[in-house]
Parts: sequence; C-alpha cells; structure tokens
Amino acid sequence: MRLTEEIAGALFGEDVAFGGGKIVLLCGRGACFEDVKGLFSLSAEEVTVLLKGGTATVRGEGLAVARYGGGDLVLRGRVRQVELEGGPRP
Amino acid sequence: MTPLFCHTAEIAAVSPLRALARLAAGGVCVRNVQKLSPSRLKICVKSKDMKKVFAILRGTCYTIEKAAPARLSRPLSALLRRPGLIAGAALFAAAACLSNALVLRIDVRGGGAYMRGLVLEALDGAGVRVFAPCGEERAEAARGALLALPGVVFAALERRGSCLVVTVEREEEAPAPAYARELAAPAAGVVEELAVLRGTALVREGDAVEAGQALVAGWFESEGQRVQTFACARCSLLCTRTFTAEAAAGEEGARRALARARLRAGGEVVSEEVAAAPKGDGTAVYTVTLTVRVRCSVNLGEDTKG
Repeated sequence: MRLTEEIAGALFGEDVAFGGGKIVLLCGRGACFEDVKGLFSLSAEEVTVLLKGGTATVRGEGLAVARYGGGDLVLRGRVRQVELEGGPRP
Repeated sequence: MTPLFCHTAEIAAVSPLRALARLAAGGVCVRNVQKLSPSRLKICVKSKDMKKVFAILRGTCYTIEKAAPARLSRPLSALLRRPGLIAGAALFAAAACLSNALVLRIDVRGGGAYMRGLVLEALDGAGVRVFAPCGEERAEAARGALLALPGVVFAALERRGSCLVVTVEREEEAPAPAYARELAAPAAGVVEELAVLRGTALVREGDAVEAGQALVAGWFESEGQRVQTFACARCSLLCTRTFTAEAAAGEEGARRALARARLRAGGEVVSEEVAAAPKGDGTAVYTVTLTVRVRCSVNLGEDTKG
C-alpha cells in the first residue's frame, strides 16, 4: 500500500488517502477495499460496497466477505468487473 | 486469517448487511460472511468480541441467533464444562512429572558390572536408590563412594529418563596377593622334618618347639644384610597328646577309650599307649598317650596347619 501511495502521490501530486476509498485487486483471488462505509448488497455474484465518496459494485464468481472491520473489507472470490459510481471529479 | 478462537453467529434482520456496518463502526472485525438468505447472515468473530457484538446489537432490530463456538473455541468450551477431566489431566501430568524425577531402575555396566551388589551398596550409602530422587549432589557423592571401592578406577552416573546407568571400570591388573611372612608351629612337639625353599630356618630336625614358635623366618641374609621376603617351607612335627576316658574295665573299654582318643588326635597317629587304672566298680580310667605327626606348610599353594 505504501508503494502505491508513493506512486500515486508522484503522479497526482496529492495525498491519495484523502478524499476517497481505495481498491486493490488481487487477480483471481479477490479484492481489498479501504475506507469502507458499509455493504449495500451481498451475493455470490455481486457485491456493492459503500466507499467514502462513492460506491463500488464488484461482479464475479464465488464472492464472499473474508474480513470486514476497521474500515477495511476483503472480498474473496474471482472478481470479473469493478464498477465505480460517484467520487470526486478529477 | 480466521482466528483460532472464534464464534459463529447468525444475524437475522430485514437488512442484515447494515448490522455489519454497525459492528464495523463498533470496532468488531467480522470474518467469513455468508449470506444464508436475504434476511439472514452468518458471520465469524473472535471469541473475545462476542460480548461486544451482543452489546452493539442490543436494543436494535437485528437478532443474533445460534451463536456457537468455532475452531478451537469448541473443544475449549467442551473442556471447561468438564472440570473433572481437567483435574484428572492435571493430576496425571503431576504424577508423570513426579515419577520422572525418581529413579525407577539402576543399570550397572562396564568392567565392574559383576560387582553389582557392592555398587548398589555404595550407591545406597550415598542416598541413590530405586524410588528415590537423584540430584547433582547425590550423584557426586555416589560417584565418590564408587571410586572408593577396591580396584575401581572409573565411575560415572548418567540419567536416562527414569533409568540410572552406572558405569564402573576396574583396573586391569589385580593387586598382588598378600603372602604369609613366616611358618609357625601349630602345636608343641619335636621337629621331625623341615624343608625350606625360601626364608631362613630357625630350628633344626630334632628340636623341641612350643605352639606358635617361629620355625622358618621371612628373611634371608645376603652379603651381611638381612633381606625381607616371605617364607616358603614345609615341616612335620611329632606331638605327644594325652587323653583320659572312663569306660568299662576290660579289652572292650580299652578299645573304646583308644577310639575316642584317635578321633580327637588331630593328625596322623604314629604310636599309641594305653594305661588303665581300675576304679573297683567295674569301670576303669584309661589314659591314652598318642604320638601324632602334624604337618604344616606356608606359601606352597597347600597351606596347612595340622
């Protein structure tokens, strides 16, 4: 995560942790979310996560919440698609 | 990673996903969330967070159903419901530790293994025995006691579990046997024959000697100096012994008295003489005089006296 922040900071010139949630995709394994406000929907094919500043809809197969707490959420399963809605304008 | 001690719980509500947000906001981390139905979720939390879960969801529209221990919490809770089993296991563990501290068998090995009886005696004197503890101090004292045994040049004690292995080694050469220094007369008499292989003769054939008198000395003279050695000689003495007995007067009584005297002679009878003194009541007092040859030797491998 620190390397990601450094790269993002160099590219965008600002603190990436401020202003929105973060999503890290682990190909074939799942996804990690930071700054999670809640879970809107949960099923094996679609999970909607409420992030700070937006909503992320994750579609895939065998999705399940492996861990949720302290603002972090870990999704387990094969992620096919992540759709973001809302968030700050670039 | 799922914690080792955790509980599973089912949350029933119209919108159970919002319960997760409440729990997350309350600092409870939920794991392995499974959606059982649109109104029912199954979650897994750390066992120590279960009370917090009940506290957070108390008074809300979310119902906790079927909270049960999972992973290691399940056998732990089963064990806590059986205090007798815990007490028995603790007692067994204590007995095992105690018995491990005791010596249950002693093995004697090495060249000195044949003197097991002496070794066990020495160990017992130092406090090392079966069904007794054997600490460093006792082991050291036992080692000292073993080294004090005759001929022992090496001793070691080693604990192998409950078995004490005692290794004892003896020196290869046996100590020189002690030899008698001189030949002494076993009884008073006259020297009939004297043969000296080693030492110095102090008497000659025909000399009268007393009981205990030295016949052959354990030294010899060489170049005017007396050199100590051990005597190696053989001698035969003619001793006179007198016995008296009371028996019936007549030849039969004399024979009986003579037989009794021969049994008590203590040597080879050379000559015998019987004298009778009648008492007048049909009995007589017989005086039997025997001349007995007594042989004696020293350091000839056949040491005899009499």
